[in-house]
Amino acid sequence: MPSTNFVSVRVQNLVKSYASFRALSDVSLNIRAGEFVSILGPSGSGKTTLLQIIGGFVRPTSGHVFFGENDVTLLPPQKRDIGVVFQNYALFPHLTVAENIAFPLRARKVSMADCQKRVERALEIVELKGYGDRAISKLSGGQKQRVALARAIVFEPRLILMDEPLSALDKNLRETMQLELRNLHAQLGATIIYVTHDQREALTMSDRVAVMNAGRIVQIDTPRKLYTAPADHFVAGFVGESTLVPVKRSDPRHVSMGDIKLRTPRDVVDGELFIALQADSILLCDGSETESDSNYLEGKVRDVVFQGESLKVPVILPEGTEIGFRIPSHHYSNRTLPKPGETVRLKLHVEDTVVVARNPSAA
Amino acid sequence: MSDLPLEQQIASTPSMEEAIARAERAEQRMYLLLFAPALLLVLLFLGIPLAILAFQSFREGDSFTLMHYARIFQEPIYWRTYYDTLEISVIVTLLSVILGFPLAYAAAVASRRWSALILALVMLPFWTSVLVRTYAWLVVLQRRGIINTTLLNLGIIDQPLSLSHNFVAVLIGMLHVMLPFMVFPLYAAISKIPAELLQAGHSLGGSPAYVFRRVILPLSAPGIIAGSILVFILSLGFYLTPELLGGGKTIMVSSLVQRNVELYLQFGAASAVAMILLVTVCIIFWAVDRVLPVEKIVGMR
Repeated sequence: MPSTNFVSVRVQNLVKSYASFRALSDVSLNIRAGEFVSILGPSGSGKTTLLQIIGGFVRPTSGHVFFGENDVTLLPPQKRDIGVVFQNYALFPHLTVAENIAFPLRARKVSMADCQKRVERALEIVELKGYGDRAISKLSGGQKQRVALARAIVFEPRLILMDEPLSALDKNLRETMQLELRNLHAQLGATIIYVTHDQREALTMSDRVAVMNAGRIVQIDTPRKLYTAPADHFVAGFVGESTLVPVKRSDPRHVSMGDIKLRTPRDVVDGELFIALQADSILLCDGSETESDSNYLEGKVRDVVFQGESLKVPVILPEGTEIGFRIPSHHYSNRTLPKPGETVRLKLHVEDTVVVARNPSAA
Repeated sequence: MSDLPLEQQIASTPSMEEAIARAERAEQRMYLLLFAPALLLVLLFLGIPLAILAFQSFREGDSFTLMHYARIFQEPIYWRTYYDTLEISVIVTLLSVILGFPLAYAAAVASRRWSALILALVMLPFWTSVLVRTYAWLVVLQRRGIINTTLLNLGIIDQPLSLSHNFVAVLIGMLHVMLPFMVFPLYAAISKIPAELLQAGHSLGGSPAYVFRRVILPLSAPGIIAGSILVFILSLGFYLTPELLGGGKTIMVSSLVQRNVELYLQFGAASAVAMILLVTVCIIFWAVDRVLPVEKIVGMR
């Protein structure tokens, strides 16, 4: 479906207040045409409110929403040309698959013949050819998801909004659908805004991720940047599987965590600082090893927990903080597996030594 | 258990199966027991009286007769009355859908406080006797009633409108009594429609009217059907309001029954009139069920 309808989206100084509660405070966001942007945040961070305002279901208290050059802030949803994929699919239970997909076309008075052709094409794109006559209740979760997707793209919308569309699927199907959505995005050149609380989903699919907290966008960046250069302690704690440990700046390139001195990849500014220790970037190492680009830690193993593809090892540092690291669960690592109570030496690459400042406005 | 040789384990299976089957039968007997009082009630107070009624309609004195039925088929007044009864019941049903839908919809989408208020106002008449309400309508609708005097004083009309003791009066009175029976099933159906479906309908380009026609109306069909059945059946047998507000001009089947019993002491004739109404209703519902797949609509496939 070679569509040129997709537009850029600009959100400007959005504020949404309810009686005693500010759901959004001064949110601005620029999304290029054809970009896949995820909005990531814990529940209650305002991400769904933002989506609802972009979709036109909720009016902001103040601020603007632009599609391309057009200010759409006051347009009702039916005039916005947005394909929305809802969390529970929101398929019409009294219509068949084909009737569901034809709904936006019929609402736009597209001729029957054209309608049928486009429904067929949409079914092909989502790989549900021949399912047109099925009742919605006869579909599996993944198939419903595809129908919702077909319905959202069939009328060549200007923008696609997705509100946690994969949250109801089981893990394996979710991962397959993530990859399919990525392909679809590339194939359509669609501008997609994707709301999720699942960071892996956001990191897998997005060109950029906007992390929200308490009604604000804390950081909008590429997935890699979110990992390597989180804007504040909230992002550092939310992204990945990290433990935040308070540290003190000892000189521009070093921080101290208790007695341990750690080198940082960039200059740090003084303030209330944390180091974000990602479970995946910490490795076991020999007692004698000393590499110039590694920082070393020591700690006492509290437990070794089998979690399928990896083992999680909680370690208590000398000053009492508990951190965690992961060991792949194949048999090669069994030979050197630490035992509870043992003291281990750990290393962390200097580039992975992420030090962030506390953001007083974040919880 | 795994210490036993395999043959013995297999050998023990049939008795286990039997035990399971026994437990299942016991459970079913239990359900039947729980169900029995209701069954007994229906049988005793509905089944038996109906059977007596049917029996009576074929009796005159001590002998079997078809005369009661013959009379109904011969006298046009009976036909007229059946027709009027059906007509007024259909009109009341249709009007109560039209009047009840906006009410039910408002109650379903309004905030909790408004919704409670709307439903309370709909329910309020339930707490007053039908007799009192009907007399109240008589006061409102009569020649020198509130409506006529107001309209006369405002100079909108010169002659008082004849609002009581006619078809219109019966319609108004019956609608007032029936509306709650329509609003509640409708409210139940509409409030079950997920808000997301409406959002989806709008986001896909549907105007409010389009979303109403393609989403809200079909999804509230179970409520419309349930409410219509209730109102239609209650209307068919309605006695008090048509009798009082109709002023003897619009006679419903129920009035015929009453007259046969009270004026002429003709239990056989009254039974026959009632039986024919019952059969007519059964035929109507059978026909509707053939055309409209009610279970399908109510069960949502």
